[in-house]
Amino acid sequence: MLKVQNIKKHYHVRKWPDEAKTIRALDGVSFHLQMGRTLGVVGESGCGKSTLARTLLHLELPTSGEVLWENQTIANIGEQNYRKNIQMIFQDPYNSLNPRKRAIDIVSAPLQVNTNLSKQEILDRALDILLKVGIASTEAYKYPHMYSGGQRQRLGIARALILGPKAVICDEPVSALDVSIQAQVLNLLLDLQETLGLSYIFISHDLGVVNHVSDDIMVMYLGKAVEQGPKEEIMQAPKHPYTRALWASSPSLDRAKTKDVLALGELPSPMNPPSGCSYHKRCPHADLLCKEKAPALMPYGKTLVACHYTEKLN
Amino acid sequence: MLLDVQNLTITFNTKTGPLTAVRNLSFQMEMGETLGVVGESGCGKSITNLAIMGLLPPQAVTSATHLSLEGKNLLSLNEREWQCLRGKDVAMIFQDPMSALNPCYSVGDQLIETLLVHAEMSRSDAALESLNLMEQVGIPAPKERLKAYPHELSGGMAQRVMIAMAISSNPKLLIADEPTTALDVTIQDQILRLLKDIQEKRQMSLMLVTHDLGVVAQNTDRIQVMYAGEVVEAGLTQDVIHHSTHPYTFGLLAGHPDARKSGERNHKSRLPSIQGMVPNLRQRPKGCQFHPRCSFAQDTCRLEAPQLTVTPGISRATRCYYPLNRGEGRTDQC
Amino acid sequence: MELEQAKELTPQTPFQEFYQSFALNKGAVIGLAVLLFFIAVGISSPFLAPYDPTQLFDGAYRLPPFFSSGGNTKFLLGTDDVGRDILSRLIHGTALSLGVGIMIVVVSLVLGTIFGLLAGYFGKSVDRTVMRFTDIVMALPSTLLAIVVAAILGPGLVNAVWAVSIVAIPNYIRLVRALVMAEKKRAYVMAAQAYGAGHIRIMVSEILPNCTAPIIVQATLGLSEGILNAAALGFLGLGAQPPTPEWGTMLADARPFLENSPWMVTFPGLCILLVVLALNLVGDGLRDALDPRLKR
Repeated sequence: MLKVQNIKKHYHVRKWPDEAKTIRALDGVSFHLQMGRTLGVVGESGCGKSTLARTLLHLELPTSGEVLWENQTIANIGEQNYRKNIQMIFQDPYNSLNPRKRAIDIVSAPLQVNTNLSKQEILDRALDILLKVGIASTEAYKYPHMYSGGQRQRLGIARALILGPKAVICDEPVSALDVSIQAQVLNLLLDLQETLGLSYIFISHDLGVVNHVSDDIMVMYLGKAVEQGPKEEIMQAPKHPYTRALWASSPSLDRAKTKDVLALGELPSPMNPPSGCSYHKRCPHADLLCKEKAPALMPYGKTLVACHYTEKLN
Repeated sequence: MLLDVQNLTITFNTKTGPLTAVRNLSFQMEMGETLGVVGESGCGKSITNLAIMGLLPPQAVTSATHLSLEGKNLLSLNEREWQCLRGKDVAMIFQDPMSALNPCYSVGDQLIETLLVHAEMSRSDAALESLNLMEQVGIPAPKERLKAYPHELSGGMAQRVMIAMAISSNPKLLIADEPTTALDVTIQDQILRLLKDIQEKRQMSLMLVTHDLGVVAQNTDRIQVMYAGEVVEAGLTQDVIHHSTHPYTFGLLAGHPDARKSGERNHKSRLPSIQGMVPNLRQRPKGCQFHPRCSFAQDTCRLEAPQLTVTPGISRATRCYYPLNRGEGRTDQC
Repeated sequence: MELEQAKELTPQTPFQEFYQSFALNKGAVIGLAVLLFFIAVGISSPFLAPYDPTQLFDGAYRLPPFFSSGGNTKFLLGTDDVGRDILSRLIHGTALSLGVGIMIVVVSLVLGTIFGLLAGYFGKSVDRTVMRFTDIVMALPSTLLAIVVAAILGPGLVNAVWAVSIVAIPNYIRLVRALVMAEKKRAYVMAAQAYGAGHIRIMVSEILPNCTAPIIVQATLGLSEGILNAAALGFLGLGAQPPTPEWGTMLADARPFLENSPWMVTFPGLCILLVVLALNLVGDGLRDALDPRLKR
């Protein structure tokens, strides 16, 4: 349904008196999102997750590559039609709702912009979608600060869904919420996926959450996918050294800590990326080849891995 | 015993009436142990830390039957004595290391200044000692980094600097309040390892305050779960994680979408979740604080607040009239 | 659900909430009371004033107020050098001075907000152009600039309003631009972009409402500054022309008689002082009540 082909997004930053620099925020990302499925995107800060979200929403134009919706370019189907199909849920429910507007106005704004419905129709639809996310119509006239964090995130979900999109980008939708609320919101997202047949692009740093909701997973590092494929494969047998380090580092209830540190040193800055494989400075298996040549994303088993030594390491 | 807290109650006098943030909190910490404190926002975990550090704002009223650190009574300290205690016996690191460092001074200046406050040494000795500390917390190229200003450091590095400052005067207790929440996963791992390492080397006690159950499970000896300003369950970490008896702890753990559970749980199945939300501390519910959200609540729970009682046979305290059976693991239910 | 019914369900609006915290500030409430008093006087000036402000009374030159020796209850606050009743002139001047202040604020606020919004929202070359303009205006001493503008346009009340407004614009531009730049980064703006809202909708209905609090505060303080500046121009002879009963002009006229007839300067001066003080108190009260940082 949504096809992303080798999109790149480069920014040119010039800070006087330095030379102009190119930041490769996205450097050749491709994936295919099918109807009703969830693609989990995992990565740490600076990996290009938010640029990916902005590009998919058509708020940024990719430097190169193509975003195809049902095999058509965005230019072909029109920006407005495209926007009706893909919407976004934001991380911080405090920041993503305009504090000066009532919940009902926030949720109905997309309809005001994109449709010619009457006031009454807009109101009805807004109340309907609010009910679907679990906010009663008597509760719909408050200002955002009067709701709890979980309710606010529900409002964000309602706003994303009111245009009836087929795909929704979820940018860390539960990481700002309290632990006991996270499960409620995740359940809601799963329910909505089932009833409305939604596809999700689920961006998160929390492996537990990604594992729970995803069908496919893409692990990103510095603007590139280092490993992508079906969830079971990647979760149970991670192939790329970075994926393994990420898995080992993420806290778990059941597993004791591993003995060794798997990811060394600091996250590199996208302003100043390392040569060759961008992970080589942190990788315990890196050698001269990794330093000089960037590995391509190659199929290995059911997954795609970008590492020179996939076979040796597995 | 290092830290002994008995019946600590902290009330804030606000414009709209009194607000009890912490109620009858009692706990102890031994030398060299790691205590995990878990709870959601507003459960009183940060307020408790501030009370131990003597940093509560003036509108807070603190009362306790006993509050002592290494036998020293903390309730009768004046501001000067607090200053002497802070940083020397107890030190604290925060969630956001960037805002805890002063952006106007270099890292070295701030480290040296911290050293000079508590120890009588010359400036040059302090400079040497600060270099030594930077090495201990695993900062590469420490000499150059001493001259750096906070904005030139990454989040992980800044947290390392905070740790160096905190351990500079050999505190007996280090309170880490959400030390890794603002950091990336691989960096979080490094910082937690560093804390563990330093704690073992220095025989320091560590209080790890966090909302992340996974972090607590992997890094602490004992755990105490807080809800609405009260401890609802306390015990050995593995014991509590795998056989929780309080419905709140149980619910939190059951709703945790842990990566390792994929085999046992159906794909995209609904997570068992705790309904409702944390009570408003101005209008606390009658009886057990958790009863409005508890699926096991009975009439007794609604009328009278349960006490934190030690379950016979296990080293575990639970604040519940009907603790869940020890036999039931968290996977069998909900 | 019906639209009518929907309205009733709206709980306390931000305005009601704001009013409650404003009412807690005593100074601001007193300031507001003084201000309302002056506004009431200004509105009802034709009925309140005992005489016409330009009427000359023969033989009643520089009479002191009624409470000092030689005073007369016929002229409660005395008369000026040509025999006009000071009280009547003050009452008529209230409408004029407040009106001038409000006009100055409206002109500078509207222009400043528009340019500030454009500069902050679009950034880049729009921002650079607007900011260079404000830099130039701000590089000149403001009173001097107002004098120059008033001199070019010619003396008179309307020209004085323009002069003082132009001087005040950069303050608003800078304030609004900074606010917009901060708001622009928040996620709700991106959310609006994501559902396809246009630039104007985002600027006016998303960003601007979140910037109003500091703008209102600035406007209140700008009002007092505007009244002062207009009075200063009047004092220098570039503002309202005699016999217009404007407070600053009255002060200027009374200057030669400062030693012999101090009441001629005292009362217009006192009026200016009271209004400006009241406005500043209200402005501070508004700031406290509206600033979310002070609330939490």
